[in-house]
Amino acid sequence: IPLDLIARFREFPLFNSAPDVFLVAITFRIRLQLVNPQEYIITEGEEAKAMYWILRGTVGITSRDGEALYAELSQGAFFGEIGILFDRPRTATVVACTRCMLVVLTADALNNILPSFPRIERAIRDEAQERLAIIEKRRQRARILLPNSNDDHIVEANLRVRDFLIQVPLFASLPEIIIHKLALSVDPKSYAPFECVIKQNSVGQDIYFVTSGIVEVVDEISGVVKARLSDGTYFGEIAFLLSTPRRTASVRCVTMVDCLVLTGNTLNLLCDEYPEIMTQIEAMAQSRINDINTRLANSFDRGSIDPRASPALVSTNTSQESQTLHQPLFTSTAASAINATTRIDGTSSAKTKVVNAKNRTTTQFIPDFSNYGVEGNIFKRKLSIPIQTSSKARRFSMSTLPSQSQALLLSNNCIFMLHPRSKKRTVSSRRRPSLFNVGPFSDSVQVKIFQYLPLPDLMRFQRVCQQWQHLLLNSYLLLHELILTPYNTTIDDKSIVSIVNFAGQRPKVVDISNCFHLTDEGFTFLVNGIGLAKIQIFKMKSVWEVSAMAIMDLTVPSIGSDLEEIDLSNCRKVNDATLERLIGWVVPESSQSNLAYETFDKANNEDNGYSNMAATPGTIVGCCQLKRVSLSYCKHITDRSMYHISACASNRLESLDLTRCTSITDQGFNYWSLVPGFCQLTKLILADCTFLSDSSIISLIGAAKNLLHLNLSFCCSLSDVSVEVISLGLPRLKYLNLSFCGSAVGDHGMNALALHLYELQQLSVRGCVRVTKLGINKVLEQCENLKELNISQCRNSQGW
Amino acid sequence: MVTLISSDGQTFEIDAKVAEKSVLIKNMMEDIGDEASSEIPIPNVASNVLSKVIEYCTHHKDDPSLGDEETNPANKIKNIDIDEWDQKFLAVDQEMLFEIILTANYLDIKPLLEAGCKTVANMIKGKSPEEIRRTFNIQNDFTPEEESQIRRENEWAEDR
Repeated sequence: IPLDLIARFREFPLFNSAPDVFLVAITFRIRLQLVNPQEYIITEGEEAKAMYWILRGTVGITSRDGEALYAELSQGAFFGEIGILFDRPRTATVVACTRCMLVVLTADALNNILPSFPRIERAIRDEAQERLAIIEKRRQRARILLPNSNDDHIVEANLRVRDFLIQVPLFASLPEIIIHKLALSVDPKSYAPFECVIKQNSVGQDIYFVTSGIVEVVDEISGVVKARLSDGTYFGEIAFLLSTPRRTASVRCVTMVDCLVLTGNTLNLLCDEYPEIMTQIEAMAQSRINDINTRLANSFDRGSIDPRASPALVSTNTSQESQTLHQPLFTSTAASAINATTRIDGTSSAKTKVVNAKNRTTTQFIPDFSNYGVEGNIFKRKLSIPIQTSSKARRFSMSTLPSQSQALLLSNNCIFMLHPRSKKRTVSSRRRPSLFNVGPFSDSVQVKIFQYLPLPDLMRFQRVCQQWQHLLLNSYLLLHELILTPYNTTIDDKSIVSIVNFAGQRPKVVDISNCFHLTDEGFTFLVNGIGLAKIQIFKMKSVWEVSAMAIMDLTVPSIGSDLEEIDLSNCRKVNDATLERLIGWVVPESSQSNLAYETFDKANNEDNGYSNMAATPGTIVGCCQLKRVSLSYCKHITDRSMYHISACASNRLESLDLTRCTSITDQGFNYWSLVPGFCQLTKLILADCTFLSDSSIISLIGAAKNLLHLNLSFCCSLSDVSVEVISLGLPRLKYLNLSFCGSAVGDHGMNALALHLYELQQLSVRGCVRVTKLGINKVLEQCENLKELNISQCRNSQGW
Repeated sequence: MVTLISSDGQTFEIDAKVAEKSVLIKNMMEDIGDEASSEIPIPNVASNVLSKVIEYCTHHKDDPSLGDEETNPANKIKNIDIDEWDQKFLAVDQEMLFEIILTANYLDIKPLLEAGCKTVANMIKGKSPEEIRRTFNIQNDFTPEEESQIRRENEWAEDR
């Protein structure tokens, strides 16, 4: 393999920070392909399985029929990279123009290599996700304007969102994970020549990165052009740094301009989540301002900054700085309590719908103060709640406060943490919702009512009035759970977009079970759209179109680090690699502790020559909180997964469903007996695992002594030994299902169960023909806690 | 015993246990201390509404008070069902229902507020935005373009 090839790989943006070891590993997995002129290399809409580098020759990106040529790629270029990372259908057709020599890297090959390089995998996956987010957003927009634009992945080939972010000094020192979050939330925007991007004195904290084109910075008052900015520069950061919502200059396009926009809301949200970063940013902002002041002396080289205006503007409202200024207002001194009440008066009365109601609310407070001096205490107490608690708790404490202070809190921006997707609602942000047009209830009561309404109603009621729309889109008390199962047949890649846009990053529990029309496209949009909220429970039973690679999106730390439960039942493309990534692992301290893996590999005669040399010891990969896993009907799950579970999750797994995972054999459970134990595992379902024999049960019982719930229905290969081992080894068992284990359960087994399992509450021996009256009576006599015994289809239990 | 005075000057003498269903009144009573014959004005609640609310508190005076976990939306069980007695109690005209909810919110009587909100939710479930505006007397403050854009963006929700 020529060294030249490695250099070429290095040019591929996703690989450019990868170490040589990795690239060498890649070169072992590629193959060469010769293509004749006019031969189709990839076809739009087809399943994507590989990416290509052009060694020699030229290819054309064309429309599906090959008629319209969008672009030509020649030697050194690459294509098809989105497909390989996200396993989605091809977005364009590629035809060879001349005789071409191509290097082909298949998705399978890449997936084989990546697990050995967890850090690179994470980098690649993060990066790819960021690019995809941009493409998605762009496509979303394009779909409305121009339904047939399909060459975006080529346009994006050289765009690295992250590079843009990192060049802002403010972000340069932020940890990786936060940069990734930011990168995912940028929005692509395009402006026509002479269009205004930012108006002087307008309100806004968004930061713009110019990806192509030229803009000029204009002082509206003097009409002077202060600066011209072109590709790779950014502007608008000062408004955010200074917490000044007003722009100090206008920015106008000279040519057609493409920008990436990072909204102030996103940044504010981030600051709320990571307070330590806030201080870092503040410190950075201060030094930037000083810097700018010195630069001012040498006249402007970046014109959007007018420090003369800033001191006056720093004190304006709705920024975090002023949020912190606000809070000391509510201290417990009498003076400030009164101060606060005056504010309450102002806000609450303004919120009421009719004028006479205004008098009512006012009177409601004044007597409180004049007649009862003690009243002030109550308010002090109530108002002090928000100060003590963290911003998260503060949101929840809303519901415990009386409505008036809620009105205050609600009207204060800090309580309504906006979810990033609301930024696209430019419509309503231009005008403020009318304060007199909100219906009979205060916002807090209205939100309580909303909590009891189903999703379609909530989405539809956005149209009622602006205030309702604002509440529905932004209240963090809504949409904690996104349960789409009731609407399964109508959920597809199109409808999921509007739902995700509505839900934003609010849901912690997502259930898309049976939404079988969803494909990778919609699924990826869903996961990336709401994922940053840190999903805790994710159920996707029978969403079978989604590929193994797409599901791995959930394992990105910024999305999956809080994931506790996942239901992958009947997701047909799930394989060992998916599960391994989900379960995750900690990169071991030294290669010594890696022995376990090597033993496994040897045992399976697998050729896996890559060690973990690229990863830092201690790095956590995957969803390290994952405790409850359902894999029923995932027929590609093999003993390798069983090994991985025992090696990496034995101490946290609580519940596992392996119904009809027919590729798992006794060997899989054998691995379980090699580790200290599954002490948290309380529920295990092995229904329909027809090939498991007694040896599995013996291994299992050695490993998971605390099982409370065991389902072995249709495990037809078990014998009496299993039942005996169960009754001796699992004394705490409450629920046992042995239906149709005819060869395992007879009267002898029933006796054993009756003798040892005192805690048993439910027992099913359905269809076990060897069970007779004797065994049943024994169980009924001995198991005092038994609530349910199923003996239907026990043909020989006559007389009972 | 506690005496509540409504906005129209009517007095209601009620058991402290009943009054304590309202967290607001409970806190007030604690602050006043043990002074006998405490009078508490409820200046923005009319007597007809206040008597209704007292009826509710009297019926539920022995219910265990709800813990804090109830207020945390994360572990809130979406229980749509309303207690049968409450259902009958809230089968009043719309204006009265709204007044009861506002009062429950003001006096901080959580279970009554919940029941009221559920009742309103059931009332508006499945209705069109136009019907909602009529019910709540809300003006449409969107321009036709804005409204049709929201409709377009949420097409999925519109046809169900």
